Amino acid sequence: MEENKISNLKTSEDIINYIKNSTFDSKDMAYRKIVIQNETIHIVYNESLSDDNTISDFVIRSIKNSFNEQIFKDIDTKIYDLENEEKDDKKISLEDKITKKMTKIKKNNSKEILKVLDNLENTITISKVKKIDLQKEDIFYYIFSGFTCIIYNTTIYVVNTRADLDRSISEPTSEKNVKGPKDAFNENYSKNIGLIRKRIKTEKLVLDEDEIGRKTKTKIGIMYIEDIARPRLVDYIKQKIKKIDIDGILDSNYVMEILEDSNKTDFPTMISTERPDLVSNMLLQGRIALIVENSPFILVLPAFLMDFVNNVEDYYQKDSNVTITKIIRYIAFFITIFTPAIYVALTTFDQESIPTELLLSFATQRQGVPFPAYVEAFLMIISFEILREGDFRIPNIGGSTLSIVGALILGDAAVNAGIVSPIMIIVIAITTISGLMFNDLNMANALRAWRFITLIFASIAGLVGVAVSLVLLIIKLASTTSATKPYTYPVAPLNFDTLGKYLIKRKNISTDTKRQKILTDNLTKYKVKE
Amino acid sequence: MKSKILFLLIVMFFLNGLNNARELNELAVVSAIGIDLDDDGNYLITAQVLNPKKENSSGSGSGSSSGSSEIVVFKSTNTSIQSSLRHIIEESPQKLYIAHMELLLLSEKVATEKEALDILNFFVRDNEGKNDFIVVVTKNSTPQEILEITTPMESNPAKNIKDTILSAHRFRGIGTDDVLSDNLSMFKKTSQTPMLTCIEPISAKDTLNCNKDEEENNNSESSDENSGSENGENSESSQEQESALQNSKDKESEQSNNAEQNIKVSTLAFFKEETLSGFLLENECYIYNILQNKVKGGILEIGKDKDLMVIDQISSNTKLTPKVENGEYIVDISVNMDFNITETGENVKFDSNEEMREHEKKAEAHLKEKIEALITKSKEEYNCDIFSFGNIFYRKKHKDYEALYEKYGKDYFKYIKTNVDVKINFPSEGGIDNIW
Repeated sequence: MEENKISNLKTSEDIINYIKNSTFDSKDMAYRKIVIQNETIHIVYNESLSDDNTISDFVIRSIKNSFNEQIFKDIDTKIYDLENEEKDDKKISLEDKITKKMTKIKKNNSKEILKVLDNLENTITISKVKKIDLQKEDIFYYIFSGFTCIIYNTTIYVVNTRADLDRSISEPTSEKNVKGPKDAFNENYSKNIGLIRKRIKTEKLVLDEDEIGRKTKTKIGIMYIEDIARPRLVDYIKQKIKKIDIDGILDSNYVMEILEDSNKTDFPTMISTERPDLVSNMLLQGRIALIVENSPFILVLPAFLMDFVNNVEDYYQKDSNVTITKIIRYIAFFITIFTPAIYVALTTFDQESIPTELLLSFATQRQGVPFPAYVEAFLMIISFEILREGDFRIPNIGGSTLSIVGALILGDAAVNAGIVSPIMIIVIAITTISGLMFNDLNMANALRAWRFITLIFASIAGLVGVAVSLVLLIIKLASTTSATKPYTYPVAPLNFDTLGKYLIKRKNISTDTKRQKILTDNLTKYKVKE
Repeated sequence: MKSKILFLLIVMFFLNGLNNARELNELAVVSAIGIDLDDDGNYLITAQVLNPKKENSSGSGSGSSSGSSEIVVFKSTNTSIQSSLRHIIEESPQKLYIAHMELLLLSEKVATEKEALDILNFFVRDNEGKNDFIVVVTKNSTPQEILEITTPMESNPAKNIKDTILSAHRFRGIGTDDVLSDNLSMFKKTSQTPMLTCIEPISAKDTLNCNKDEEENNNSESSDENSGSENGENSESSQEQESALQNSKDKESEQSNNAEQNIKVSTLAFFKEETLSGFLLENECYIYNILQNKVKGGILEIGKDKDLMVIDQISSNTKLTPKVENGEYIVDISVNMDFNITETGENVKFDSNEEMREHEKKAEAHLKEKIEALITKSKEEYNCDIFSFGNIFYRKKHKDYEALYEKYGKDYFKYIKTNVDVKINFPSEGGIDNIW
């Protein structure tokens, strides 16, 4: 129906009416007329998305100027012709000549204007100008991207007059680092691409674009390095993205969830980062980045469990020292999942495994606590999670209130009131502090989920329960894939090469000559120049 | 399916009190159990329970509530160990939890009258227990008395006793560091003489005097082996005679001031056919441990006054090899030990290698004499194969063992001869090089 309507539009007035009707006469739509030689050029744009100054300074002025230039050029030629023609009438004033000329020109006005508009691409001082075909392309996409439409009869030109609605590049907020680059992605699609391009200056870095979302028409960029990334993997991801049919995509997590449909664990199978250096590092390994318009988080896939434990900052520090950092991270990984469970298991089921002195100390501290240990643990974990969730949402002004309430009331007062034992505070504290080592929110939440699962198992069956939950965790992790790659690589499909290079140790950059075979066929990474 | 699993989990979560979960404050942690016999032949059980007490830290939040505990002692009498322990529940609000036991004390009476395996049976079978506590025999005392002594050094008296035993073994070579599982295998082995460490109470005031006595004892023995052993024997028997009298006195003093009491690791008790049959002398324990290749440290004193030489053991390696020659059953004992010289008298000089070698030989002769004396003593006096030569034959020369057993019966060990070969090495002169 709509197409029929579009094909019926014969004049610029029809088009304007069509736009007005389609937008239900939204008040932020701006319509302007420019009348030149009795011919009307319509200009349509969205006030909130477009920059007024750009439109008035560049678009309207450019049209007028170029039109005038064209006319005068024509006039000059015509005058020359006239002079030749009318050699007899020598005493004709210039004004008369012009008026004479104008009357002649008027006949050809529409042609002249079209000529001017065609020339607009060359003359206008705005970089992005495009002629669109109303039948084929959606004019509203351009209007609501901040473009200005110049409509003359059925010819439509769109000029980029987008207003700057994005914030400038700032430091990463969720992934802090001490050393290394400190710029971060923001909501601007092209800036995000620029931040990556600026690091990898090769024609092999390909940007493939797709538009997803029936309503939002969100651009999704698929970036990869052509001679490193596996074509099959690129195709696989392109296919998957093409299949997406959704009304709207507001953040990269939408894409992540749709692509992750096979992931039944709580662990994330894509890296979601706001650090361009990490994305560049991953692209050079042969991974693929997905840039979603309006999202400051870029997705990288495939991702392994190892990538969430490791940090790109490891590459900015001395390699031998990173080994200890990595070991601490792995320890923290297990501490944050298992500590409350093991404490509950030991104190309620397997007391013989605790050294006598510690047992007495535990027993002393538990004197007068009315709840069983697992209830205590749940109370403390839940109250801490409330605190954490509150901390995320609270405006910065109120931050100190929260910490005072959290530290004093939950910690000290709860112990003095006899609700929890001091040792439980220590257990929960070490658990949560260990959890803070993982800055990916999805990862932190997955660890939290498994903390509860292990705790439930431990409170049912003691250390046996802990062992069962560990087995479950391993089964879950080992059966997960990320973009067809095994999630627990390099441990579960055992690869000693990668294991030695990345898992515990970070290999010195000067000796790390090969890329990972699982990601790419182009293995040469570091060459020693003679 | 998922909802079923979830339901199951929730149900299990709320019903988890049904299985054997126990909170820490529901446990009465037993640190030591003493077993004695009363006059009717019933077991008299004493259980020392650690009592975790919360200190009143009402003022500041950082109260030092580290597990400072006092002990509570429960007593109960019944026909079996299990029932006696269960009867304690009538007095105690919590069930006794014996997995953290450090010590099991057997009185002389129960060790003599009951078979040891029958007593230990309970602790092996009870699924709660661990096998790493030390079994000791209380000499000149009863388990009740010892368990009521609170030690000043540590809040857990049983742990204190255990540590004392272990360090006595580690640094003096007396006692054993065997735990229950080792003891059990000793009791189960053929022709093996099990040994248990003995402890006895001493009053803290007497500690100094006691040490003096010991030293005197040692000195006299080292100078004159025979007279020394006789002295020791005499003192032992006299002690035993006096023990009854002393006990009554001790009890009074204990009740007045328990804190002044202390525990001392004294000797080894040897068992024959699972019942207590006698005690070694204190200085014989070191020799025994050397021959059993279990010694980790100890000192030897050679000579007297100006010829005195005290040597501190670094390492020791003993090999017992059985052999049969001309119908005679012989055990070759080869002892190889390294010592540090720690203290010397005026006349002892190490100026040359020859002199050094001389002193080594002197020490070798001294040790050899002691070993041979103890072997003779075991045959004649203790009437017990304390070095378990029978077991060595049983393991290494099984047929000869059977022949030996057939030939001589239970007294076979008296016919086993020994060749003692001692090698002592002083790696250094004790750190003094050319100072004078």
